[in-house]
Amino acid sequence: MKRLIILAICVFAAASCTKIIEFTGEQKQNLLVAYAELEDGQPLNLSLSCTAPSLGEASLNVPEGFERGICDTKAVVLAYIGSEKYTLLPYHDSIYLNDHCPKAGDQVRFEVAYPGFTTVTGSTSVPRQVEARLISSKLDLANNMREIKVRIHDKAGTDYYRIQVYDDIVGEQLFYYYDDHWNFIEAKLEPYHHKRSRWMVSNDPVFEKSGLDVISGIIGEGSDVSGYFTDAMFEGKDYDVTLTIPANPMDYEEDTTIPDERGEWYKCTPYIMVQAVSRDLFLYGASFWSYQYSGEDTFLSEPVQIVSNVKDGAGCIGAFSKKIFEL
Amino acid sequence: MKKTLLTIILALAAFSAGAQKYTLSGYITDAASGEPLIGAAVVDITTGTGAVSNNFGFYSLTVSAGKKQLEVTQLGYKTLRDTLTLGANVSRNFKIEEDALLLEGALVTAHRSNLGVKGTQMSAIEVPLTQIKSVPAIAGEVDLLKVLQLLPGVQSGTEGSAGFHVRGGGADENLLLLDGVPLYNVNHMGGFFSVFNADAIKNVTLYKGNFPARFGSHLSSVVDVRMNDGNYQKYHGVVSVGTIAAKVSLEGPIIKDRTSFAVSFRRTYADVLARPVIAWYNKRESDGLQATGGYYFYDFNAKVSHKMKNGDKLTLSFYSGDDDVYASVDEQDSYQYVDSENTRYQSNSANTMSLGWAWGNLVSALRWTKELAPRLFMNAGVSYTQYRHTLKLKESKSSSIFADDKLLDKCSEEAQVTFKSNIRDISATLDFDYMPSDRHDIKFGAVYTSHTFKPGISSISLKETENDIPAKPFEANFGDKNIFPHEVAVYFEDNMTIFPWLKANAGLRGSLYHVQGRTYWSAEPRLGLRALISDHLSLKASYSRMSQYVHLLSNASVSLPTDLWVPVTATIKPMVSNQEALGIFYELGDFDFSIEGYYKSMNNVIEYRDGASFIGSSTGWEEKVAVGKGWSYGAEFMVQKSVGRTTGWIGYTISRTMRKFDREGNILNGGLPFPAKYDRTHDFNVTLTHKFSERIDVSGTFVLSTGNCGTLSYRTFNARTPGSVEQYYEEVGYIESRNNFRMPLYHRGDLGANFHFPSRHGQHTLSISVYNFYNHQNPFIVYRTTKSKEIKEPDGSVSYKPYGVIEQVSIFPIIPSISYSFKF
Repeated sequence: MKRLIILAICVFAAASCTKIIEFTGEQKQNLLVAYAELEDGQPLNLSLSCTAPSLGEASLNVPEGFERGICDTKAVVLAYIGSEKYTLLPYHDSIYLNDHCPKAGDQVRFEVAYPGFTTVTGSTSVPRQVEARLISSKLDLANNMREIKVRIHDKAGTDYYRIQVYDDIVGEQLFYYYDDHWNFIEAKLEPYHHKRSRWMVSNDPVFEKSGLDVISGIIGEGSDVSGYFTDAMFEGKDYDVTLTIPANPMDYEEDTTIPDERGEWYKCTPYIMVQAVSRDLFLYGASFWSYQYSGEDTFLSEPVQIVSNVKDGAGCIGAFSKKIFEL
Repeated sequence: MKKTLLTIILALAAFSAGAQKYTLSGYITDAASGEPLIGAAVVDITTGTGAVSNNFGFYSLTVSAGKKQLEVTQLGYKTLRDTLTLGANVSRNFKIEEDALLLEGALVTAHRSNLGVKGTQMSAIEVPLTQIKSVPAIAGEVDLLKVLQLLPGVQSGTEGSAGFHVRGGGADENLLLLDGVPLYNVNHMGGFFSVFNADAIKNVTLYKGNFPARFGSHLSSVVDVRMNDGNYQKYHGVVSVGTIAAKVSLEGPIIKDRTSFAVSFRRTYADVLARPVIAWYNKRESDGLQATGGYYFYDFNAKVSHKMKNGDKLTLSFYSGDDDVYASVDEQDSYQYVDSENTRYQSNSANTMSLGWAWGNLVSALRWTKELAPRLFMNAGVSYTQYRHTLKLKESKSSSIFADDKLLDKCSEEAQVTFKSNIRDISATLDFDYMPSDRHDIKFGAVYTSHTFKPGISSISLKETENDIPAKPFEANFGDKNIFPHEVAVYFEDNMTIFPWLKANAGLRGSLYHVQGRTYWSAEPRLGLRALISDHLSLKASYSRMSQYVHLLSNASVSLPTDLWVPVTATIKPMVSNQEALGIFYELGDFDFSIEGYYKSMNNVIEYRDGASFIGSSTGWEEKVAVGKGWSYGAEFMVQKSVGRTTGWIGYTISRTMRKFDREGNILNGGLPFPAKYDRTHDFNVTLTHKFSERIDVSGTFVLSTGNCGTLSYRTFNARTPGSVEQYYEEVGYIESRNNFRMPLYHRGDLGANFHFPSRHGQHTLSISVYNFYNHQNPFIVYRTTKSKEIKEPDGSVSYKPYGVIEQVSIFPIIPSISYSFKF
């Protein structure tokens, strides 16, 4: 009897566990991934890559670190604006360019072909210039925060927006150089210039009403927001969007425009950018944002499908217009 | 012309004379207990005219004058034959006796005259308690909802869950009525058990379609559960002890033949059994840590029925059930040290953390039934139903420092977080049964409900003291505002005989829902037709339109107490469904066959948006859901054997359930159709019971169905971060469509056996059951993850490469259980 009980317990313990299901389903054909963000007055551009299998033996054959970017002359990347056809040529990495600059209101259609893949298509409309102005940018030193208010002058029709706060950082930094055997060669002071986006928090209902404040704040402190929203709450009217950012960017507590003992210095200037984005770029961006938070978690939230307007492929063909204000 | 007129007048006179009819009315009760019997038939065998008793045992039969031979029948009871001569309206009560042999064989049945070949009602199944109790159960705990999941057209949710989906509807689209009062949360222990204690139940009827107009407010099904009235003659009881719970039920007369009571109590005792283990652990613990905790649920049902001298009846029903999780950890620390000046310091600290998490239902109903006239019966009642959920987290800290026994510093801190949500309904109902002739059975009535939704209020309090001086306390409350909708519904239905071969149940239900200054209304026509081809074969068709004014925000995998019922609002409109069904019903000897096909369309159904979390949905929930439409179609086959030593049924459903969310601002899956999570193409069930003797019976069930749907990516790609500030790539999964993945086939077999030992004082029963007897690992959840594989390189070295796999979690292996009960 004792043996029977032990056996029963062992069976119970062994059975209640995780089981790996061998993926035996048919491998799906890989797809082209086309991505374009067009802007009024800027050259036509498109980034091209492809999907890779992620399950079973097939996923083993994907080279480690393979970026899956495609940038060669075998790709045929065409853009159509009205009856005009433009060919985009390989530039660098996965980018294809053509000098022609679309204008606001242009309907741009891309057609991308590459041997071994299904040809993909996608189109977008370049949005009109966004009308916005900075109302206020106040430092709240007590809470080490900066409160920002931006007025958007919305026009008739459904519009999609994105607000992004970023730092434009310029400076000089000491770079250390080593040979192949890690022997020190020299240290050189070199200039650098890059932009980095800021974390934003807001209680403004435009973000909540867009269903995009994925992480709800507690005790009224506001929600971590993506910056995407629609004009559903203020269709055709002026609206003041409010948000808060940390007073200083992470890692850069204060500007050091005077070089330190090593000669390093930098200057950090915060900006706010207001974009009117095409509907497809809005949906892509919003879903990309959601994916960062919940990915494919299937237990406590709905998995996120990254929205695409690329037929027979993935990615996004989108466009935007922007206004930038220094804070 | 004169001749024609004369003929018409004579014909009318003859019809009138022939139509000289009287009404026979009264109650049909169990001879032994005096309990009213639901669905018992009284038939005038000379004309074939009959009537069926309602939920209160009342019948009314209008027949022509003269000598009548009557038969009173009910499945599981001996047929009662009676003769009387009708010359006036007569009140007659019938008491019929249980047939022990038949009763043992009684099971899911379409034998009732209103459900089988001859009845108008289709898409409905009555489940007698004897069958529910004989089906093998998980952990030996008999569960009503798990038995319903074995019926065609009813899909279970995830493995082990009591949640179910009827004809493509969501789990929140089932109206569960306990003595006519809706229950909001029917799950215990994360949905693995339901709140229905089989010992407290008398009768269960499931409606999947062809909804009579008296039912409304939910789209997909009605589960009408009736509690025991209690025995009017003798005291009886059942005591049982199972693997996880113990139960006791008692019923009997308070005043013989006039007043009865029935009470049942069930409680799980894993927490009680764990106490000595926890105490033993705490005793061994030497670092000052003391922990305690546990989980239990209980159900308490009570009913008192009183028959007044004038035939009126008053009934008071009560149900209370709760789940309770509790835990606390006490930590005490103390140390001493001596400094360089030889001062002896002593530091004491204590930290207590506690959790209290409780949720449950409270239901009560008071009913008054009265025979207003031989052909008119009234049921009036008021009811109260409440679902409550409370979560409390508390932390207390205190510390003190003494120097040479002199207090240097002392402080304490207490923080408490409380979350409360609540739904309360107060309802008043007035129902009438009117049987003007043998061709019409009319039901009409009205119901008013005042809802109170408290979606979720959180409060935080912080208290601190420093050397007995209290600091300013902090207290804050936040959450959504309460919502107070009002709902009114009126209905009318007539179950009519148009020709002897053609019957119809036509009805209309109208409802109004007022919320946040906005009023929604709905007119819901209902129609059921039955054409009798022969005594053993009939065709039925039906149409039902339903509206629903509440939604459940729920985790799809398990039922959590955080699942939240929310009302429709000014922006989220009511759900509406239209269902058409067609069926063939055939009787052959002891076997009943049925085939039903249906098509159901649903509008304004909700689904969580991509990325929306099930946690913390109490605020801003309207933005986390999308509104769209759905449809479901399928065919259900059922063959059942109701009498004999071997009884049971085989059911098979082939169906498809789809969703489409293509409205602006509510787009899911790119606006394209996708299968619902619980879309299962094939669902096959077998349930069999065999009685070897009076002492031994065995039962078994087998379930085989297509796996649930899930969303997984088969490919990845590098997605560009949108925006022009920083341009980088993230590897993401390429999900081609929502619910694109099928979980593996679900199959499971359960076995059970009951051994009965009669004694002088009652009957002892030992029940043994084995859930999932061949230990098949069915999926509970499935997800994609990465493993690494050892690769031998050409130079002999070994490297590890990542590759994607799908993993499933199974939670229910083979589960043997044993229970004992004593019925007296």
